[in-house]
Amino acid sequence: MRPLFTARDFAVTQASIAALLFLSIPLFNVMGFSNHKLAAILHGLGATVTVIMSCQTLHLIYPMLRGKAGAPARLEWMLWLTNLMVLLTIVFGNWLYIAYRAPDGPQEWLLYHSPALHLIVMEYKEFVSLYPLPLGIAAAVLLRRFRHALEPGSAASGIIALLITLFWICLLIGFVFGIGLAKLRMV
Amino acid sequence: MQAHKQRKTGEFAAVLLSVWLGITATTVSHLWSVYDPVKANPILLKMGSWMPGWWGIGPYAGKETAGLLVWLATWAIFHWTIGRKEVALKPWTIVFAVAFIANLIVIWPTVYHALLGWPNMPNTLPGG
Repeated sequence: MRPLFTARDFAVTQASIAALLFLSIPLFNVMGFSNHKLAAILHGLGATVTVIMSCQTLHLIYPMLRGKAGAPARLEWMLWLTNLMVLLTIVFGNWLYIAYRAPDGPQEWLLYHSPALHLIVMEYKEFVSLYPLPLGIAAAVLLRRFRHALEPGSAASGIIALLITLFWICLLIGFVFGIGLAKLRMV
Repeated sequence: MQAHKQRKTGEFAAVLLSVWLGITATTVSHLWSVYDPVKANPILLKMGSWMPGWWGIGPYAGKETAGLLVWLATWAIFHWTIGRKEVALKPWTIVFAVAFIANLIVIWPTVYHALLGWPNMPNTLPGG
């Protein structure tokens, strides 16, 4: 007998609800009190979409490492899309940074009230969040040039997997530190 | 398939080295601006002045520019030099992973501020 819901139905339901609710986290600021709403929301949405996509990218390295046919091409496609989102989010981040540094802005406020948040959290995050751009583009270019020559367990596919893992780790550092800062003081 | 066989493992080395050097360029320019802000910041500001909004982004725009330039320039150079040779990938992988983590530790602010000093806080300045 055919069940009412298949395993796929449950998986798709979970993924869609998770994506929808995660995206609502930056969207709460539509109702917020920021003076720089557009830049803040675009940076937050960009970061959320990027991190969700980077998780899918990270998962696609496993079939590549096992040498599954067509896996490098699928990984490369997803990685280029994620790289585009990384670049956009960095651009929005730079835009938002103008307001962050402005006189009477969050940087000044944090330095008065809790200096470690600017001097440690923000100073670390603003550099580490840049690293995914070269890491992701490097891995994507290597995949483009070597995708037909990758063998399971080879040092070459290991380097691509390493680059993408570091890419994901740096994205997550930027994401968590960013949410933490925004939770305490919105730009 | 013939074309793919001609690609050398040196291309991987070129990528790893250029990514690390680009990242290190942002780190070094940031440490410079912490150590000697009076000298470094105007230069970094000028380097970043091609960027829309550089006037508000500040010296950070110059640090991003330094990283971008070093990454892409060294990638091009190494692609046409190391990239044409066969190299052993295992040592390259290990050295890259260690060097990458070393950079993540050095750029952790309590580490470099402990060595280079902490900036003055606005409410600890005389008369502040």
